[in-house]
Amino acid sequence: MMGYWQQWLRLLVGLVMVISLFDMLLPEHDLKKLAKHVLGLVIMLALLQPLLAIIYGDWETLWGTILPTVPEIDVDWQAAGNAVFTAGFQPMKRVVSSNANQQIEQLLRRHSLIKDARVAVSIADTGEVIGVHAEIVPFFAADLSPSEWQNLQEDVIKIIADYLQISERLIFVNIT
Amino acid sequence: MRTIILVFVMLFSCHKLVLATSNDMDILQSTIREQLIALDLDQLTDFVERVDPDYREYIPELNWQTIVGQQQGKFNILTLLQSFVVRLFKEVIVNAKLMRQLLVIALLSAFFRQLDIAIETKGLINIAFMVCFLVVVFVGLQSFRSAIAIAYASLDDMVSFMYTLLPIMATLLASVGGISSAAIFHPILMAVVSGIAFLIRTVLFPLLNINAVVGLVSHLSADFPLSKLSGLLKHLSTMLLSFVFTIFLGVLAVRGAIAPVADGVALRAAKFLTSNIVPVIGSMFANAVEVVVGGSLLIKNTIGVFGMILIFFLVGLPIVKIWAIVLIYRIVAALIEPLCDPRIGNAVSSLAGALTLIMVSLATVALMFFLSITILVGFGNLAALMR
Repeated sequence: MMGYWQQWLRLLVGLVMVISLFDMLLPEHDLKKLAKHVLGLVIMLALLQPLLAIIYGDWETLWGTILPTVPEIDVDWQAAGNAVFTAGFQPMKRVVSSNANQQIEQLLRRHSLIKDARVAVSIADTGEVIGVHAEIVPFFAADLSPSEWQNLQEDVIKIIADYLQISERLIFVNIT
Repeated sequence: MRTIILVFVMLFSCHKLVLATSNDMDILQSTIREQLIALDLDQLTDFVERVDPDYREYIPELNWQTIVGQQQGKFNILTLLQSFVVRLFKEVIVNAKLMRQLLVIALLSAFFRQLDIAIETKGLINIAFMVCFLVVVFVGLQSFRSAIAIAYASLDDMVSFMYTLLPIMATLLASVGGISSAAIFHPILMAVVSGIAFLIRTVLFPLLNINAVVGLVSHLSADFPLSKLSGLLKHLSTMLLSFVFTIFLGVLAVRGAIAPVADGVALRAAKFLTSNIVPVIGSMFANAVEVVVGGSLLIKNTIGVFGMILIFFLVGLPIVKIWAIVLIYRIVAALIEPLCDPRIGNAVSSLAGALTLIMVSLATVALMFFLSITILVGFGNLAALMR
């Protein structure tokens, strides 16, 4: 595109310079007026060139085939936004998980047979509980019968499942 | 204008809102830190290297301290203006050689003019004057070319910066829930930026270049003036610039409030579902969503401000450099007017006029990019407000 215009500009500037030089060198004579007229016509013809190209629709020569290039914009914004959101969500998830752990631990410690409890709630990025792991330390562990162990385990699972309103299958209890 | 004020009010209000207790700040800081790691802003901060070292201190650092307001930037408009004025004079002094060259040639042409009046053989004197004029044209065009190269470099820097900034801003917009805003306006703004760059780079700047050359040549011969052609080219240039700016403003005007409202409603629905369907932890999660969105909003606004400041510096210094050359042309034209042939003064003035137009078009492009960033910042804030 620029090639055509540069060529035209060069032609115009060259013509004006040469014609000005001729104008200076021509002696004062009646014919000088005619010469000026002819030289003026030559400049006009040079000026007309791009105009004629526009009229006759020679766009290829005038503008070429250059088109603006837009960078790749086919982006999955949902995924891109989620990636940043999820990254920022991790500290919050840890806080939420820690709060939930403490609340469940306090709840479990109210049980007459439980001396201490350690709970770890696993939470998905969507906020759903995907698993709970509970470590239970009972009072008088050595004195507990196998059925009492079984009952205690079931109680813990029920307490957690009721509190979090989740399926019992997601809860793993370890009594030590 | 109202939108810009609204955006700035939101920027500062959001900034103040988070200045709560230290514990809250710790959570917010860790959220922001994690998001910054996920975003990877290295490509964006690399652009600071393209700013003159003297002005880098004014650009805020993109870290969590800046975002939560623990680290204040050194951006002071008064000292900045002062340093720009000092820089302008320094540039004028640096370009004094150009002034010297133009003045010497102009004085020589004035001498020939006096000879022309004194002696009768005018042909030779006219040729000598023409040679002087051509030397002025040559010297003028050399400096014009260096000035336009500065303008091209500045435009390229701004465009590549926008290409880096817009996807990051759109990602952050999506992360605060503005997925439909990001999906609609990111391609539009990208197309607008590349369209503006294309028109300015391949049509407007060459047109102004031709205008400068024709403007110079039009003063060569009094019998074959090309001043009307020069005027036509100038008219076309200003028309094109106005057209581009009008189209740009049109795009901004039709951006509509539909997308932010849809985003806000979607965000609200997500919060409602989380707090009501997921038991116990759900309500905690719904509140956590607020904190994370707030963190993303702060990052987005800070990156927006960073982008605006960087655009200002990417365009400000080249404009000062071009302005220094324009000042030199104007000073030379004023100095030689009483002494020389008016054609030389007019030629130098026409160069100054063409360079002023280049300066104006560069500033207009920067303003358009500035507004694009403001729009993206505003969208996120609206979506967040809607929730």
